[in-house]
Amino acid sequence: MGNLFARGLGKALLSAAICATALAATPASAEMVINRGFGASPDTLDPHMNFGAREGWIQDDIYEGLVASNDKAEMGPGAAEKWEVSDDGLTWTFHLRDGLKWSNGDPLVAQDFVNGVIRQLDPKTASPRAYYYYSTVKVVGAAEFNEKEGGDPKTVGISAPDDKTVVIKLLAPQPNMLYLMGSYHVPPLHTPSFEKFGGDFIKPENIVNNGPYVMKENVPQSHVTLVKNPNYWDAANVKADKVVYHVTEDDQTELKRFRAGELHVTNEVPSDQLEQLKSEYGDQLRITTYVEAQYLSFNITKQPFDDIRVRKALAYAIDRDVLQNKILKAGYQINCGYSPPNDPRYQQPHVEECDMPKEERVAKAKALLQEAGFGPDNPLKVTIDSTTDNTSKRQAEGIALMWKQIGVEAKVNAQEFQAWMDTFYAGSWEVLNDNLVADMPGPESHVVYMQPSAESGYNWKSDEYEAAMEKASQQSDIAQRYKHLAEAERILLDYYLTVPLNVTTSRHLVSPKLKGWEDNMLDVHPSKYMSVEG
Amino acid sequence: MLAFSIRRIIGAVPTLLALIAISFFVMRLAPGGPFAANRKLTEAIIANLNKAYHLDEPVWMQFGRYLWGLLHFDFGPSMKYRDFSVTELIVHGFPVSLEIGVWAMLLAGVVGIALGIVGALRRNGVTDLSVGIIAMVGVAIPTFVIGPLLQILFGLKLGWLPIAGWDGSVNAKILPIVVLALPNIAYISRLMRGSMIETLRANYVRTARAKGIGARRVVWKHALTGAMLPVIAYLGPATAITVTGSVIVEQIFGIPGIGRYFVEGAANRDYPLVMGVTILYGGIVILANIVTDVARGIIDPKVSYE
Amino acid sequence: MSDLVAGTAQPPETTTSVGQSPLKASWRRFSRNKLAVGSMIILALIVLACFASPLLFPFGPEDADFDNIAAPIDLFSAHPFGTDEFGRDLLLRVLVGGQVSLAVGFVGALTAVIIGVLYGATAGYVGGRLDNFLMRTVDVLYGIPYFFLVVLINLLVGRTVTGLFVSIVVVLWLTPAVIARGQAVSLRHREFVDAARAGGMTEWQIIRQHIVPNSLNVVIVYSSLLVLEVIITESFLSFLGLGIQPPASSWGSLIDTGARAIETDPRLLLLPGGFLATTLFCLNFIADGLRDAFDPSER
Repeated sequence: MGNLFARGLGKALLSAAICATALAATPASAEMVINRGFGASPDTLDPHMNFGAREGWIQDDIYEGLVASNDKAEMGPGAAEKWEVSDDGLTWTFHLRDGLKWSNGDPLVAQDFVNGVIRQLDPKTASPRAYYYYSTVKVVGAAEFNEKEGGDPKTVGISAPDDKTVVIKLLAPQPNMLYLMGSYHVPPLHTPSFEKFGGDFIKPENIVNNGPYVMKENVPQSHVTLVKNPNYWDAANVKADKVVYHVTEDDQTELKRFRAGELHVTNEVPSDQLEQLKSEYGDQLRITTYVEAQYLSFNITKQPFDDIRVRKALAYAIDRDVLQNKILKAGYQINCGYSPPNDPRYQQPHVEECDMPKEERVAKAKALLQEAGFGPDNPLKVTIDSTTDNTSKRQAEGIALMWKQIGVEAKVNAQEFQAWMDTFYAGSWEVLNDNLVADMPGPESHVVYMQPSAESGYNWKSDEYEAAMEKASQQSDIAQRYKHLAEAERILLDYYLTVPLNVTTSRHLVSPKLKGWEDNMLDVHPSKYMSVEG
Repeated sequence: MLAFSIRRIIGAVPTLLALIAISFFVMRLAPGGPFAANRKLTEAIIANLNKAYHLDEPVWMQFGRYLWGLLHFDFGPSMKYRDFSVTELIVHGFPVSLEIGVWAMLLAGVVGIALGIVGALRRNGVTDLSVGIIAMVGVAIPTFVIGPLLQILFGLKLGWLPIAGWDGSVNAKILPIVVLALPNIAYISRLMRGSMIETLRANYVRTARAKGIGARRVVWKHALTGAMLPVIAYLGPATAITVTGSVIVEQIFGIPGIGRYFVEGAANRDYPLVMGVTILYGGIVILANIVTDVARGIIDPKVSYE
Repeated sequence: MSDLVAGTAQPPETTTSVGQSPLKASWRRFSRNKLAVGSMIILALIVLACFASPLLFPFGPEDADFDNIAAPIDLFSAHPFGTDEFGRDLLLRVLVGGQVSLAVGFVGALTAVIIGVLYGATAGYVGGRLDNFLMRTVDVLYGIPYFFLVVLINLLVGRTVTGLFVSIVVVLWLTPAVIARGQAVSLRHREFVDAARAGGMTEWQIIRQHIVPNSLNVVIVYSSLLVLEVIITESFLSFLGLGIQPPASSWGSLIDTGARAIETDPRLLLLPGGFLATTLFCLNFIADGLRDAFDPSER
């Protein structure tokens, strides 16, 4: 081991020297820097711990997975240049490029990808996203390995038969495998630095990366700086020398910094000022449909929400058109089903009240409420639990006011994200202002999430739903798979466990100086493709 | 006086211990855990996390572990910012909060006391009224309205100062310091004015005047020192609060200080972070009170160090 | 209050008798202060408007008119100051929000001052171990971050008006206590206190009749600011999402919403902000007038 370290150290010094000459050769004034707004400080940049999509931006820049997303969020070759899948859809084989290197010059081998997956699953790592390899990508042996300390990594269905081949074995076919294998989901592990520094291997002074960029600075509550990685295989096509992600907690402040030219692109745009910003900025304002659906969820373990008449009445009382177009005005798209309707191949089922005229809808809502035993003398009292996010809070308040109009006494309880989650899992909520972001386009992430056996916390049981999902999971043909997913979604909608509301947008202000920014549904924007002109 | 100071510092140790104990156990009473993520975690993952953070041990053992760590200046790992230990976060954030806070308090002290004196001497005149109005505006308009207004004025319209951010330049510090100082200027000027008026007619000042000492000297030497007492009583805790960061100012101006850790940590049930900041904060407040008492003793000979 | 007069200007022997006339005299002096009396009248009108006039509106503060969202100011329409981003009447919202702000502000400040002054005066006057213990407790409480205390109490009490009130009082009695103690420490060695002690008054009587009244001057200045501080704290909590929960409102939460729309619709900020600022200005002038009135050398 010591020998290996010595070699590693020698290479590190050598690459540092190369870096230094490379930097010296470029005059400081010609340095191209991209300034990106980031929102709140990153929770963690540990590639095997991170959940967050925003942290994923940085991760996509400094780590490259087997496959990687381009600027249009299409998955293509990353560290692997080609791959194949077995006929039963259960075995995926990825072939790495020649001559891949880590940022310190160490060779990047197939085992590094295996080690990454194993670290994430290792109970000692205590990664909150260990579930990924058994509930999202169903890798053979992953759940068992995560459950108990001291398991044998060889029992997990990921292996490196040689330095250039990674083989993954699944329990069920997964037609969307490439989306699930992207950089931020399956990053490799630089084993020597991890063994040397433990969890501190991600500190800027220790970090070794394999992506287009290397992390140079991580200042909490301030910024994360990335510099170009000269050892990246495609370094010739990486344009910017430096990328700085600025922590911009408050969207109003971020907007002001963009105005003052301090940022090339914002993380967020205040959703209540879109109209004004549109007239001010024209096509610099980018509003793109996102893979996030928002909906209300009912706590069916609490009276009277166990009564479908009450759930239905509350659903009928919501005017989606007013909510989206008059109150939120965030460019959200009205959604009549549970999943975000973004794949034309999917026949999305709809809730019936979506197409009803307003008068009929409200009349039915009142009638249902009366039937359930509520009226002016005995008004239904409801609390909507929401996060403190401004848009969510306004949505909850708007709905509360709509319910007020059918005689329901509604109020909103807005809490910080973490406390809101706690309330949800503690089961003390009544109605939740809920949402889910998909890992990929299409309905699958959403419909799988609601599967009762996935225990997502709704205490719902449905054998029919399980049966439909079981059928879907056996299909590697997308049309057949979607047919069964639609059956499941129909069952969910008819039960009124949730009330579909909308599909959200990602919103950015992009400076005309920034080239190579492509709007896309997954809101993925690798810095590799960007440059600054003028 | 030295003996008094040392005695006060030693006496502060139990206070600090009480503070540590209260915050530790109260934080444990707060509902919810720090691990809720975007999805419901499986039992196995929660068990792994609890083990990693020693949350599976009895509470008294956790407390002992925590105290042991504190003796080594180890505040434990942050659960929210998992890339950093609490000590690292404080080392990053505290100097920033300290710098802004100290400048803001200096500004507030100088301007506030000056305004207070002017108000008291030109009592009920136009000057007094305008000082009163300035003070009122400082108090009446909340920081989160003044902040954005100044950002728009000096950052956008005039383009003199950066809107937000922390690049170490002097320009980036001006707005936050001013915004942080404003409410303190208002408080101090009013306190100063009130106690100055009172002192000006206290017996010893009258005596001094009767003895024929010039009005100017009366103000500067006798009345001022007497009138400073309530202001100093206020300055102590206020300085401690200000140097440990203002949540809102740090949020509006994107300043990487520890004030924001209060919010983030408490909202996200990051026990070690909240406690680390709490203990630091408590230590500073205790220190500020000792300094206040000593300073009052120097100014007012009637306060004895007992 | 009369003791203040006695303590500083008159011989100590007369301090034990509390006469009625100085109080009346003070009131007379106050009523001659036009600014203070004017402020009193305006404040009374604001209080009246907030608590009585909502009854006159044909709709409630939470009745949304979705066809009339963000209606502009039109003095002769059903919504004279327009509607908010949900189509609710802005004026009515501000008036009803004022009920919460005023109630929390006055009751909260009063409670905090009473607790704080009694506590601080006792500590400062008695001194020694008791002082040490009492102020040590204040130190510990001060040492717990404001936000932390508020969050905790919010969790325990819930995000209601009562919760707001309790969390604010718990934090804000500390400063009056520190100030009162500071005053008491510097007062306890003054001649008139020694004289009272020599005259056979009990410690409690001295605290009540000498220390508290003599601390009042500074405390009155501070309390006038405390009402403002309570009201501002309430809006600060709203800013952080811990204050009063929607759809209910207070001036604080309305200003918070308005501050976000400062560039697009300043009306949302100016109406509640105007009410708040006017109230605070009035309180300020009233406090000034009170102090001048209770101050004998003003004559």
